[in-house]
Amino acid sequence: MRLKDHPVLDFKFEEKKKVSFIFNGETLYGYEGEPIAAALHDNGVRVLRRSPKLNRDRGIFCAIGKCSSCLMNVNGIPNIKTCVEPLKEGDIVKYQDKKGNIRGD
Amino acid sequence: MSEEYNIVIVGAGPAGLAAATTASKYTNKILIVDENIKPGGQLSKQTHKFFGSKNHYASVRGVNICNILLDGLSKEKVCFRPETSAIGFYKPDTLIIQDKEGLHKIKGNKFIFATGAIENMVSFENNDLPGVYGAGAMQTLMNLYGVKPAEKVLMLGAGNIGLIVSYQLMQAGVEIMGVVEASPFIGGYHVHAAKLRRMGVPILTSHTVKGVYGDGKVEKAIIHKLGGGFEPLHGTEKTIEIDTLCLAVGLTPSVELLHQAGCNIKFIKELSGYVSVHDDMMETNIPGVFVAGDASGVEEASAAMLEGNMAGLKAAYDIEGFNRSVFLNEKEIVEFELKSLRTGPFCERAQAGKKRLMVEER
Amino acid sequence: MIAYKTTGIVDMELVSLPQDWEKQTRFFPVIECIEKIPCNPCSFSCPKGAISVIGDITNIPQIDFERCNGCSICVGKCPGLAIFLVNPNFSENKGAVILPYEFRPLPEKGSIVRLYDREGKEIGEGMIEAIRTSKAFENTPLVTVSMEKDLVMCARHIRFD
Repeated sequence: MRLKDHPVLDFKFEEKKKVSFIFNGETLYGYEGEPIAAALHDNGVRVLRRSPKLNRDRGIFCAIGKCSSCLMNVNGIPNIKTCVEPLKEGDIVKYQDKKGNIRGD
Repeated sequence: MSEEYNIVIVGAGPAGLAAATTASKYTNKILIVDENIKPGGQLSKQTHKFFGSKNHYASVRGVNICNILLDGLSKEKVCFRPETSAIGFYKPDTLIIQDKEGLHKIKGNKFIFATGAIENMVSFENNDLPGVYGAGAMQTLMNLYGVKPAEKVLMLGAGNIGLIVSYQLMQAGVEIMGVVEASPFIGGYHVHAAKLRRMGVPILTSHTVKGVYGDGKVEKAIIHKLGGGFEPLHGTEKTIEIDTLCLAVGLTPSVELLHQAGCNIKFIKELSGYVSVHDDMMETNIPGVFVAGDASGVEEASAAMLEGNMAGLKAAYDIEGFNRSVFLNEKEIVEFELKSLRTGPFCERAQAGKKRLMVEER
Repeated sequence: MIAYKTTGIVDMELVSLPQDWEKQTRFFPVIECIEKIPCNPCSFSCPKGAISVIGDITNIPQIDFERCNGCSICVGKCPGLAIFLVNPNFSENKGAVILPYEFRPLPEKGSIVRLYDREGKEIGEGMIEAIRTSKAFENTPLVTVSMEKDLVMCARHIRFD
């Protein structure tokens, strides 16, 4: 859910460009230029990857590009820090298994 | 071919922006690089009004201070590169940065590392479960991108960050189930705690989180009481239904680049971890390399801005050699403001840490 | 150890009030700021010079009730949202409190709201008499609520459906 009536901030969503992207084959929507992880979060997606050693699900932790908890496969490239990666129209975002795979699967 | 600048600043948070503000009064060709999409660091996420005096922008919301600083920077003098990581420093004058195009060599006369800090994690069962977020992450989602970040949150940590972020979450329509604090006392300002209490939020001191549980995501937390030696008291467990556990358990300075650059790094507990030794004008043991903000010891954003002002002033003076009395006058003002901010019981820790840092340097 | 460090609730013995405050017929500030924190906007923003932070900016604000004209600028400026204006005799049988309210939606003038004390306990009902927002207050709305006279020193937050 977006914060449309906030006591301090005005996000001016009506001036922003809505774009579509694919997450695990499903079409979702977000605002152009916002971090992919933020757009996913707004769509209720909190699980972003699986840890390399213990096979545990991981989500966002720091959201400022420092902790690597949000690494995903974006347009075929693994290990993208989605909390600092701007969303573009048509991005193909995938849940990342372990260290990721350069072939994009 | 490498680009050349007078001053290269790493980090566009409060310290980095303040450094650029002061430096650009006296010199030009300033570069700021930052990993994030937008400049402002944590400052742009602070929707509360700042404390301090008029010269510390007291009573102005952090997000508005951020806009004041950004609007004040001259585009002719200061170049900003977002989505750019600084990944290595080579003495005496070369920084390696990485952006979408690849790696670039940047030459600089002076360098200011305002790299900030990273949020701490604590150990409890399932602390890696999706739904365990740093307090700063909640702020980034809700205050920068307008995403309602959760429905029901338990906050761990009753320092200023835990208290302030709880209030900001309530402003975003999120329910705060409680604030849990291991210490017997609320660490943050009373006024922040009072705002939560009158809205019915319990603050449980001498309590901590035993673990979070759920099927692939946080669904509940179990908390328990702690004894005088911080030992868990059995039989005091309580289950709280939540979808998010928010951690506000302190920060650790990000000194990787400074360390790699060869700066003298010391562990100072009061400054929250390993920090770079620096002099009274924020210059490290490597001439021309400065540090400012949380990277030089975790404090408030107001102190970070003043440290940035100081580093920017000295760096610009060393390059331009402008009128010495102008320089000394401005130095004195920044010193006075820093000192006034660092008085009082809440700053004793940071003060003691800074003193130890300076003494150990000698 | 002082209780507020564990409860988060101000000890009213540490808060200064005018003499015979119950008899006052105008708004006066109740400054619930009792800790040595580096902060002084209440002092530098007061147009009457009624609030002073003397010496270090960590000192606790002192108020001269004689000088105060109840303008409420300090309520809008206080970064800790710790100042409230209280009028124990707002009308013949009601008192009133002016408090900062940084939430959405805002209540409507004339509407009935629930009142909460410093612990978040519901203590009664009040009526919204006025709402003011100002850029000078960084858009913190100030809400005037009337209520039973004996609630003015307790009511510190409002809620409504």
